[in-house]
Amino acid sequence: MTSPPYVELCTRSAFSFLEGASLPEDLVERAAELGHGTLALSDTDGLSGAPRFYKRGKALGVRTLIGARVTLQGPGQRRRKNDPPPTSGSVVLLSRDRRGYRNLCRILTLGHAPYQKPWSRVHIQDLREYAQGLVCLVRDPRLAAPMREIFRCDAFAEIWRHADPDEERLNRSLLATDLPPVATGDVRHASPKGKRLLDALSCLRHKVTLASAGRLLLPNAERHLRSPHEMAARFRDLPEALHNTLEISERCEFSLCDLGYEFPDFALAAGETLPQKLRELTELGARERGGGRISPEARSQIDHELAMIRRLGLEGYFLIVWDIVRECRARGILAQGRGSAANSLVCYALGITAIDPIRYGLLFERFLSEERGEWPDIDIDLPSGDRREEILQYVYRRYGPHGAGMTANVISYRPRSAVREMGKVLGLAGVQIDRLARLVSRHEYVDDRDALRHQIERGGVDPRAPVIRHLLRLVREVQHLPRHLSQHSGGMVIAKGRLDELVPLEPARMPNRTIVQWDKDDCADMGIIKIDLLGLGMLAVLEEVIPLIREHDGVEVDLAKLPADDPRTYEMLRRADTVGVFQVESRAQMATLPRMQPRCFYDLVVEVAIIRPGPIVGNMVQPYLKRRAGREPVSYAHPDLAPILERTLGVPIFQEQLLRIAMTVAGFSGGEAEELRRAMGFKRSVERMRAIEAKLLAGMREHGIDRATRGEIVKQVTAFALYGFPESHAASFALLAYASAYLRAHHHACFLAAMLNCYPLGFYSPATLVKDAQRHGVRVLPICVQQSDWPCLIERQTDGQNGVRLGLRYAEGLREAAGRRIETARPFASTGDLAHRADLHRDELARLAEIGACAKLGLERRAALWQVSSVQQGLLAGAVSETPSPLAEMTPFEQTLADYRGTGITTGPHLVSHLRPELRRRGVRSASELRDLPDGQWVRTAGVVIVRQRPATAKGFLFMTLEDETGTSNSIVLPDLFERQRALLQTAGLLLVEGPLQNQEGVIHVRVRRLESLDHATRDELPRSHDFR
Amino acid sequence: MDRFACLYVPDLPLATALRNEPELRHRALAIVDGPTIVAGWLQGLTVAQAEAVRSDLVVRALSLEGIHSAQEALIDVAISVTPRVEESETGTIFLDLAGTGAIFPSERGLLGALEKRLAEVGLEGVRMGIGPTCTVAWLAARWQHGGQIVSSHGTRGFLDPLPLDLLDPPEETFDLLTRWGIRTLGELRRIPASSLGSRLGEPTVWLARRARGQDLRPFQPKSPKLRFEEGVQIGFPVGDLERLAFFLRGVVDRLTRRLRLRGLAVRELLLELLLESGQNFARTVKTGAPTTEAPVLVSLLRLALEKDPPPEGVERIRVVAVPGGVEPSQLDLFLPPLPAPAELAVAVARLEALCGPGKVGAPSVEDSHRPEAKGLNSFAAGPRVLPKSAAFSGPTMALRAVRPPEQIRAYGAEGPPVKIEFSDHRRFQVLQHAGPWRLFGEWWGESCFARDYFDVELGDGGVYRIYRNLDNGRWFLDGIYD
Repeated sequence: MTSPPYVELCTRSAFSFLEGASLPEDLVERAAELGHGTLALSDTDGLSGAPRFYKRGKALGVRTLIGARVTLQGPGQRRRKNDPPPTSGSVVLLSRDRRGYRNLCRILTLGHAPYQKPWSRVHIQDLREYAQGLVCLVRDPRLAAPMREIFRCDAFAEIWRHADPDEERLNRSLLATDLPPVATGDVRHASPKGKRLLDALSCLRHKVTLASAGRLLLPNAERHLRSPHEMAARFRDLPEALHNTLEISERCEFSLCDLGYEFPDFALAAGETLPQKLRELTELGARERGGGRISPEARSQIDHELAMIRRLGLEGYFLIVWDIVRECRARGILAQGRGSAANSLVCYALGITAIDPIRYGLLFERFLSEERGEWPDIDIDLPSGDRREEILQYVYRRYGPHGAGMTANVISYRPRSAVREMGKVLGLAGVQIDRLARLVSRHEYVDDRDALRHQIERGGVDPRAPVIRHLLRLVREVQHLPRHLSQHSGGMVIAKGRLDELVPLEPARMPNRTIVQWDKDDCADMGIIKIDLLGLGMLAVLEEVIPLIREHDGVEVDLAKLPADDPRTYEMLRRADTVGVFQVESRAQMATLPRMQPRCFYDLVVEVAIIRPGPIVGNMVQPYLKRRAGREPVSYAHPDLAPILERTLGVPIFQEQLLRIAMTVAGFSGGEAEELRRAMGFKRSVERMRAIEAKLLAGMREHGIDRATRGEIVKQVTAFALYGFPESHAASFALLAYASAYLRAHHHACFLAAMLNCYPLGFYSPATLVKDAQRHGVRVLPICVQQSDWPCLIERQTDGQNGVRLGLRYAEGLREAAGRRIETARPFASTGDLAHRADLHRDELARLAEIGACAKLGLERRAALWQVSSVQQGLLAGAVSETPSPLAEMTPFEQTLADYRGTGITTGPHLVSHLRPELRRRGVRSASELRDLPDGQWVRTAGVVIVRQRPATAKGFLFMTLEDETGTSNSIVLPDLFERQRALLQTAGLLLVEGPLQNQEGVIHVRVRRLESLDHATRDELPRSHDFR
Repeated sequence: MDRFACLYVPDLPLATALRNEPELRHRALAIVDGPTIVAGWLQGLTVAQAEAVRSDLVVRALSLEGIHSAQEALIDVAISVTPRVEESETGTIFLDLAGTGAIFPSERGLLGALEKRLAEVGLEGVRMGIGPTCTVAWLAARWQHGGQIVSSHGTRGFLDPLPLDLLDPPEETFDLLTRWGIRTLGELRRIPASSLGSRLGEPTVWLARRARGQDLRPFQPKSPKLRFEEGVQIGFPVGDLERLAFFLRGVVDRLTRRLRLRGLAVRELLLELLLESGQNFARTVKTGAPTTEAPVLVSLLRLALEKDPPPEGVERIRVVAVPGGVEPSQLDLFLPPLPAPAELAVAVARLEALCGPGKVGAPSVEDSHRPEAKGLNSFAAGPRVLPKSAAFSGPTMALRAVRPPEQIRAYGAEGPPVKIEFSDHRRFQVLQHAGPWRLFGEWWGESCFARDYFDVELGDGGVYRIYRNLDNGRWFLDGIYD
């Protein structure tokens, strides 16, 4: 078979960000369809698309060449900061070999280094320094001579033929240079119909509409992939240009499988080896954990794990992670490993994780096996905020600025953003765009009726109108295309030597941080090790609360030594009194806890794991709860499954159980079972799933499992495609859930203060946290200029009780510097004194007055507002008028509204309490009253909407939580009512709902049949509800 | 005791349209200015978007003349009751009712008469109010559906409960006062003015005064309108334009003399001809620049009539001059002398009469890949900065564009043609060709194009540019190389 007469050397995918309209995978697929055996990717100023490009090429048998179009720095300066830097054009660089690829990464890193996104400009001096191993394609005749000088016989003139006479003129100029010609397609989209999307993306790039873009758009749709024969025909008069595509292709031998990544070395003392060091630290830690001894079982497991680690050559990895955790400990920073690492006794001994895998029977192979063929994945939870940054910077310092980087996060177009962007491009009016965007569902659940076309039609817009048709088409095409790269929240990659020779680095917005151009999946595919250093709000809370408890409650809390199975804690959990408690505070968790009735730690592990899409869709939740309540007998699909499932009453809940099922009844090895799990992972492929399922079924047949049982097992196993928790992960989280529940139960005031200081986190707003605490008897004191610090504080009251004083940080619009000045400058004699010595702006003063923060200056709110509005600034700074206030003082209702408006929280009566007399007259029950009403009774209740949730697994049901002065109540809205009242349900802040009450096993819901908005106050006054995807 | 009335039209553009077409009263009516709806249904959307939402939408263009006429009609009604009328903002008129008691024994009766007269001039839905000051009357007209008569001693009782936003305060002031708990005019009134001024500035003091019903300035009745109108009753029908011009000359001459006395010039002429059948024939002629040169004005009128002659003989001529200030023009020392603006306006008018409306102007290149895309701007004489010429690189071929492109026939299989036949049936072999050059664009609108262009040398020795429309396969001659 003759080889194709042409190789495409110049393509730009959507990772050229607004210069290409196809994903790299789509380019490869189209190339394969057209008969290309080789394809090059040359995205602008980056290699973000390269791993996917390579991976898809490997799957389809297309050889992939890696390159980039590099923008060169031009003369002159930018006139304004936001202007693009000057450029003298661009060239395409293709990697010949590993040296060339590394040089390309260095060049791109240097190009990005001086700028925040999205620019890169490469200095010609850098090209000179890093030219080795690269082929250069030149389109601009002015660059011919300099590139010839730098790249010598690896420099070529790029000849285009897109049926454009201006191009032909330029081609002639290039052919007149002494660079050998090479034909390229400068491909921007896989097929001709991609031109429309490319035009839209060009408009976004230039910030114009289609109607006004004019010649900013390409003149035709010729920049798509063509077959080699078609290209050969197009360039038949330039045989040398065709031949050179083959020539260059042969020179470019580099493949991404040859990246040459090496894990960093761990610094050892003289005479030490990695295995020795790891064993030494493991045994030391195991003794500490085991109360001074290592049990035979633990010894055996340690040996097994260390042997596996040895075989895989991963000692260095474990030691590096140990080093990071050790650094956390040394700085007093809470750190806890999560995920499958908790399956490892070595990790437990090293202090990386907090769960004893032997005690919980966790499967090591879930974490590490020879069949995995990839690095293990250890995620460390750290307190969110500055403390985590300390550790990130430690890693940067330890491995050098070019040895570590954050992984990227590819932000792609979602429906709403796509509607907005494409609407702008089509020239729709802002009002219309807003309206269309609001029609697009934000919720996770999507059915046929939610398809964009239907959503728009339901909103009263005709989808057949030409401009709307174009909009729908463009929105459909642009979705899932990358929009830009941002930084992943916690993923870090480290390398031996220079990371910027493996993947280009870009500066992050935060100082002293760099980002690699690949996301964590790309890094994993390229075999680059990643450690996730994640910020967990609850860890920050725990770190904050411990010193508060020490100081104000006189108790020294050691999280590792909390009383296990504390009765008060479990009683609180059983009542679903869990606002603020990690992992078990959601609406769904609160609906399960009274039925679950947790009494011990393992119950909590199950509780954390059971409210997940996997068990929910697999219909495992109800059977488990029924069996737990004794209403259903415990049974097993097969007797061999009993040892695996007995601790979960015959119902598979954890991922490890899934793996063990495959191993037990289908004969999978540990590694094969792990492969099964990966096949059902988030980005599963249909072919892979089918192959694994077939293997599973075959294995079960061999083991004599009957047909019905095989079906049931496969159904249970495939339910985990929607992600169930690994048991180790659930256990790690259950530790934190227990700790937070315990501290809430015993030290609620300190817990609240810590939660408020670490916000945002958790499920509920500060307003709800405060009201919940108040219902538990915690005194919460309003912001006061004479008492409050910037953060919330514990304040001893005259009766000896601790109260929580709200911090100045919750005063909307108050600068932190101003708040800190208030802290240091008080006490204040008057509002004038406050204004002057704290140097506050007038609007800050007004805010403080309005929220009652000047009460201890002897002023009611409106009187304070009256006074501060007369505050002089400048030469007469601090002077105020003493004329008595003619303003009527705020009513209690107005005070509540002012609180919400000014702080998002009220320490006074709940908003609904002001409406209670009227609500009583209408027969509306409070949340607490619902508990005493029988199941099935028709009820009315009302409250502020604090949660709205429409999960993908709930088949269109909407779940809401309403809050009134007595607590919270839950409501369920059926899909048809949701459709009829969609706008109201999505926007109302205060609702009255009506319908039959469901009161079973301590779980209470109103099944809504009718609803009414009670928005007496504007929506803006109320704290925002937590609306779920 | 002072008494004032206020006539208030809540939505004048809409009222104007309904005045012209009362049958649209119960329809979904939108008033557009350019592409956007500015009044009526679905404000803020473009017409296309609004029609996508409401297919039975009726659209009318914003008519400034109509609004002006409606305003004038409002004034006419007011003047029919009292000569002391003040025109406030568009759509709001104040009347000083002093002396009207002799004609209208009760104020309610006065309102009734006003309502009737407003209906006669086609203005419905006008809100009215009466009070001891213009401000009180204004608030009385705007509160709810209007029709309030507020007595002098009942002013405070009427004003106090009114909401603050009825005074149209600036948003920031409104927000701040609301936070102070001030929601009604009464609450605002109770704040000492000096305290308000020192805290919120002078505009809030004025707001407080209005909250008390006080006027911010004295009533200023409208002066009799300066109307420059001249006419002539010919007495017999004149159909000949030359004879008509004779009469026009006299009329225009008288007009321009009156204007010169006032230091004014003609910006626009409204020509009204009474035809022999009794019908009116009206035309508006703009002058380009205000002028008092009678011959120029007569020429413009003549050209307008030549372009669009009256269908019958004319029996009466009336010309109304819309005045403007005389604008001196400054010559530039370094540029060639420019034509006088009035003469230029005449020349352009002559060309428009020849070529048709919208076909005379300054050409502009449209930013588009479509070769025939062009724009036409208003022609304005003035110094123009010419682009710097590129360095001369030797003789090049010029392409004489054929506009509109001429349909031709081309023979040959897919690909470049081998023979061309022009519209005059001349046929030539294609000796050489270059291309295809492909163009595809504007797919989002009605002018979508997809074409393949070829440069062809034909057997007649000429070199031409032709193209095939890829949508329908037709061939066109685009230009001739020179």
